[in-house]
Amino acid sequence: MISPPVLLVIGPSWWAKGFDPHLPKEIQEGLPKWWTRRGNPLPAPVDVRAYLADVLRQEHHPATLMEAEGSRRTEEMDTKFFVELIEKLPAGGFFAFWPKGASPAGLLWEFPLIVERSGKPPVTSETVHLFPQEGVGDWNKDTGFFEFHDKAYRTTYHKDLTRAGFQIWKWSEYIGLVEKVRRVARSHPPKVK
Amino acid sequence: MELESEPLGYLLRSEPAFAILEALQDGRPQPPLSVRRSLDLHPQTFKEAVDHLNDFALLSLMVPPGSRPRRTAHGVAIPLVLRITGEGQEVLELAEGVRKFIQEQAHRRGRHLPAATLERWLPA
Repeated sequence: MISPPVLLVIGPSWWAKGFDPHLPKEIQEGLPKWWTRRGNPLPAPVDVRAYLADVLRQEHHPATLMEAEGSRRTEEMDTKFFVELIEKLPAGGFFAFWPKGASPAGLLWEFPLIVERSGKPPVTSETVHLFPQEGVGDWNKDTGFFEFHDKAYRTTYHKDLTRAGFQIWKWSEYIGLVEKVRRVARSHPPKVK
Repeated sequence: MELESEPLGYLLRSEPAFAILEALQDGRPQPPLSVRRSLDLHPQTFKEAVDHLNDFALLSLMVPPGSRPRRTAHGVAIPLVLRITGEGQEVLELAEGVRKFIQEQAHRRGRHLPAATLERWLPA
């Protein structure tokens, strides 16, 4: 069991069929030893999340992902397992990986569950960090708003999380993402209890 | 490492980025448009500088608590504020120190320095 407080790396698990994310060699060949690779031949988004959790660990943040914390059997159990996990892990925060070419359905399912956890301790803009890839969204220089570029997204998915507040760290290339996660981790040193 | 890929070097090179961080130095989160207007920067110049500062994690794009998303023609839009990070404060203070040192030295050695250097570091 990992010592508190823990950062949970959330996000999608699989690429859309036929999508090639052009992952750099560093990620393809550098998956952590504590993780069993799921994607084949390419690492899957869940593998990339494990890589990012490892980057956070290198920066002295206890970090993990749901898939590394046990096994579930059904979709129904996924929800129960995730809720139990976020209740159990003292909040160090949430890093949400949001790449192009993967369904964000899981992420949109996780958002309200994370906010629901509020009170132990509350989810705030200090604890939730969203990493959308360029193409998923960008901030508009004329309005000052961040826009998620998918007409299928409904505002209802974002309401609870938006009300709680979060931070956005946009990226374009995977090498840039890794460096950015490292920098954000350094800029937000782990809180010692 | 190239100057552009290192936060302090970037901050010393980019006047808009320096001005943006200075505007946020008191730690108060501010909407992007009010920062841009107060500095009278071109929207594209402002966006590039903010994106660069965000890449270096010197500044965060924050959705303030209590915000509400809204639908747009392109999808969902969420209000933002800009906030300097702890690392941003540190790098800005260091950059201010370097600038002050260079300005003092430029005053002292003025006539021996290239005109372009004086123009850059000792603006009229």
